[in-house]
Amino acid sequence: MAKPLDTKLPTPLREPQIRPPQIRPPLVEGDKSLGDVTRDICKPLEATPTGLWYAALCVSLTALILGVTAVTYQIATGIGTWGLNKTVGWAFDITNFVFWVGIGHAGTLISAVLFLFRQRWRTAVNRSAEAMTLFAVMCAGLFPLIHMGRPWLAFWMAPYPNTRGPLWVNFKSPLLWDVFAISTYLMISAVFWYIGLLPDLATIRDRSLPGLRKKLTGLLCLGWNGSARTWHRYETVYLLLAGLATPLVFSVHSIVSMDFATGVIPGWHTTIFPPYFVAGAIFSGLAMVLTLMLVARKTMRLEQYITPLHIDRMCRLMLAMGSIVGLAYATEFFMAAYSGNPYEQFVFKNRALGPMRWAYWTMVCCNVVIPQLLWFRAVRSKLALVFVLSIVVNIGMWFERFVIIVTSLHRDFLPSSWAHYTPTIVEVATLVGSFGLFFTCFLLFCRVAPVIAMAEVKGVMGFRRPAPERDTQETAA
Amino acid sequence: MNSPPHPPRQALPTHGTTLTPQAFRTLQAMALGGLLVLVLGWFYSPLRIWSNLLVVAYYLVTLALGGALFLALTYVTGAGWHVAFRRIPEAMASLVPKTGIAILVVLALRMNQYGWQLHAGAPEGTDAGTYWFKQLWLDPPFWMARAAIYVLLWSVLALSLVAFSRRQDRLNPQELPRAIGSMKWSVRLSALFLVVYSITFSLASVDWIMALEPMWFSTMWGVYQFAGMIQATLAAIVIVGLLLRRPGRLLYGIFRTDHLHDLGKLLLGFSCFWMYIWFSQFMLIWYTNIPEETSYYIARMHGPWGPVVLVSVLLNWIIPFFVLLPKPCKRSEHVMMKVAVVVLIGRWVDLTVMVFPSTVGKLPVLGIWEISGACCMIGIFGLLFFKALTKSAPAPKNDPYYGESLSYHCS
Amino acid sequence: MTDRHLLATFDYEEDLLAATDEVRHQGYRIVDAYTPYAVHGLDRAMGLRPSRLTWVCFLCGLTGALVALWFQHWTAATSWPLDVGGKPWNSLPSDVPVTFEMMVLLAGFGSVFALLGVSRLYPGKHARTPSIRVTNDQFVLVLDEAGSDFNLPSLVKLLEKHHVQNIEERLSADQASCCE
Repeated sequence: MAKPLDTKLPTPLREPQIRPPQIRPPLVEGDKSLGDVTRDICKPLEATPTGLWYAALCVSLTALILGVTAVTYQIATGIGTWGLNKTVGWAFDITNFVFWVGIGHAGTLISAVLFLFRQRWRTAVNRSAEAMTLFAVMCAGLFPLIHMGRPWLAFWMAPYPNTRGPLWVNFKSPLLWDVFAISTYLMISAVFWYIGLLPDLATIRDRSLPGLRKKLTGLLCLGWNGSARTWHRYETVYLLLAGLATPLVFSVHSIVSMDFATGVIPGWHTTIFPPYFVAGAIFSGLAMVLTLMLVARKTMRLEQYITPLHIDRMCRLMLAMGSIVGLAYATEFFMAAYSGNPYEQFVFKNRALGPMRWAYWTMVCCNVVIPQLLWFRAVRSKLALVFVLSIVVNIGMWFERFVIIVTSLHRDFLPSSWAHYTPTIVEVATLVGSFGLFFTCFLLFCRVAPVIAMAEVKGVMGFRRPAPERDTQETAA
Repeated sequence: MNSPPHPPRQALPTHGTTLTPQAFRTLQAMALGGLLVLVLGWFYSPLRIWSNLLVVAYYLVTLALGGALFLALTYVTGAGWHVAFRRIPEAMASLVPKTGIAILVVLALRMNQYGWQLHAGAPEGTDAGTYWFKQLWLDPPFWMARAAIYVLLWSVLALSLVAFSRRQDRLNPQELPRAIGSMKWSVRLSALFLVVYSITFSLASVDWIMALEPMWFSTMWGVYQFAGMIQATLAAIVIVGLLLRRPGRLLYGIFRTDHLHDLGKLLLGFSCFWMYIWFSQFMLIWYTNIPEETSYYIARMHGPWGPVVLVSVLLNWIIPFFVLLPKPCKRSEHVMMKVAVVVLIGRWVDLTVMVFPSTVGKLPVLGIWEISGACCMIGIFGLLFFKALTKSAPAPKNDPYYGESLSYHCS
Repeated sequence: MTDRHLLATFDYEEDLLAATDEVRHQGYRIVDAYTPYAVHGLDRAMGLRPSRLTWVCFLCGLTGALVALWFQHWTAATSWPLDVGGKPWNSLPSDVPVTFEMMVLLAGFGSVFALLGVSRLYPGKHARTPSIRVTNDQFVLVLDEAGSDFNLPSLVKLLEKHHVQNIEERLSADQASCCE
């Protein structure tokens, strides 16, 4: 059973362990032991839900039901229930699609990219951010399905041998790339999330009294027993998944941006779109993570795990991403002026000064101007202010997609076909419904799975046997 | 608790050498010989020599600026792993003023190379009103003044970053709070640097390289230049790090295999980033097939330059990607050295493909002028870099993260 | 090799690490260790070889990419060639996104299923844990009492030096029952 000694491997641990001075602030507050972590994080799962939770679920479910009604109506009646016209053929639906895909990106950033960069503060938020990714991508996927008009024929997008030739799907179309990108993203995110859950499910299994919870977690944790040999392989696979998810998250929003950028429409076709969309997606996703986490830490009493330090780190990231997005806006304007191309120049003039200028300036204020407040520590440490800012950014990023899609279309090459676009009540109800779906899923997730990855937090909290000479100091303090 | 920890197994050297005298003489010969050949060549073919000078100067200034960028990025992200070898990027960053002056001189030699089609007025068949901004932007005096401002800003910020770090050396090693305080100022300065850098470098890359094709434009350009720059910077850090970690050298016992491993990961990552950006720009232009955009790629991919573009992709992505994937390769001195050299050659090929088709013409050239250009670049960079390195202590021992950098394990 | 195992329980990861490393260098056979989280450096302390799952990942990724590339080429250029936007039938640049996605999909699923297979994790598996607290706050090192040089008193002394909390002997077959 036991493998023989491998003498070739280095054994750095035989030398006295070096403890560099502890300069970095602790990630978990309140001198927790390992058992405390388990208890604190499992507590909300084991208690009965609070009234606040029920109230939130009621609101979300109402929104979801509204959305389901709207979707049923528009599928039964047809896409004519939307405010689209011949000139503006893409508007609200695609805006929502891009918005939701973007929301998902912060989850993968936190779980994969920050893992590769050894940013250990990610452990407090990665579980819920990954869950958020899953739900956001689910919401996103709904919009193209609805847009098909005949969603029951969605399987036509799969390249399967058929009796129509076989007529294959068009692999040269960015819309098909989207199908592959979004479904891969959904599946890999789900697997990443589930693999991360395994040790925590085993913890719940071992804590629970015999009953349904113990049976279910026992079934789902696949017989996890904390064996070091399994942990060793698990860590390898986790690293591999992180290494795969990092380029994946870049590719997904890049491909979404190519839905626009491979067109010849000024305002859509510009080479910076792929990285610019990725930065924007992470920006909006971080804002959504902040919104959710600020609520969750209060209502679930996780203040000692999601500390002001974590909020501060996320604010800094959000500032960086917002500034990259701002630079991309500026680059587009600069290049339009520099290019000498009259159509490029018109589109950007029209964006800033045309009939849709209110949307453009909302976007600039919410995404670039207001987030500059985050330069100040005083702002980053006021959690109420951060909460407001995160919502402002979410609004701004929704408008960004709206501005890109609609203002580029509504005044095209032929002035006689210029048109306006206003969403119908059905479209707005669908958007509200997607929020309902998202929050319903998230609230249910908070009830069935630990919102913080216990096994990961325990690994980074630096829990050590108190040094003997410091014992007295600590008890005194 | 605050006593600085020692690296395992090896004692810290007090003073090490940088290069052997022979190596110094070789570098001197390369720099002087290369420069001499280029000066002589000016009388033979000014345009080709100037193109070489532009590649050399731009390569040098982006390497130096890349050092500052590496410093700024590591400061703002609160990184501690790199502190032990931080003097390498610092020495690179301290070269920003010198290399900046070099590129200003090169630019001043042929100001009219940029936007020459526009100096007489808007191109035929276009609406004159839409070109006013480009004419203004590429107007030689304004264009040159901007270049000087970029270099000035970069120099001030890069030198301040280096000065802030060197100031730590004079602190009392026991005073941790003061070291942390000084680090906080470096973080603020780095944030300022990043803001200034991202704006000015995007513009500089447009002004100096993209404007060689005055009718062509791509919003991706600044990102593309950033990708190439950081990739080459990492490769350069790897090479000098490996040279300096040999027994008896300056960073012996300080530059650890874990540092090499992490640099290898970053090199792998940024090689992929370069490929991603390169491909996105190319694919979007190829896909839409709009004549005013495809001109850039037609000049480079149809005809004799085509294979050179493929070589650039091979050197900048395919080789680093497949070689650096396995963990043992990232920890191997030989492999990392070779890959870093390949990446630096790849950067040179990449810059050549950007510059030469616009200036020299349809046929790729590789002759004495190009080789002396490359020699001159290596010589100048080596001499300046190793001289700058000796101006401070070999390692920032008073940095709060110094202990962490010497003891962390890279998985 | 016997079926008699010695279980040493620790409260802190540093004790487990130090004990594991020393026990291994004294020549005792380590069966396994059980920890509530991934202990950094435990693989080195136990002398575990680097996992070969990276190769599974690489090969799966390569397969995904090559199959996707071939399939796109075959459908677009051989099976039913269609002119899309005047592009050549075998347009390599537009094949890249799907190729990349398929590479990631197969590499990710391949390595996860390989992990589950190699570690024998499957739904409904009966977990064999030495103590229910190893998924919470305890660290257990399991040693094989095999070999002529197995010396219990000196081993106990060694473990006590590393602050062992509890030492017990078990028949390995018994391990299954202890998590009930």
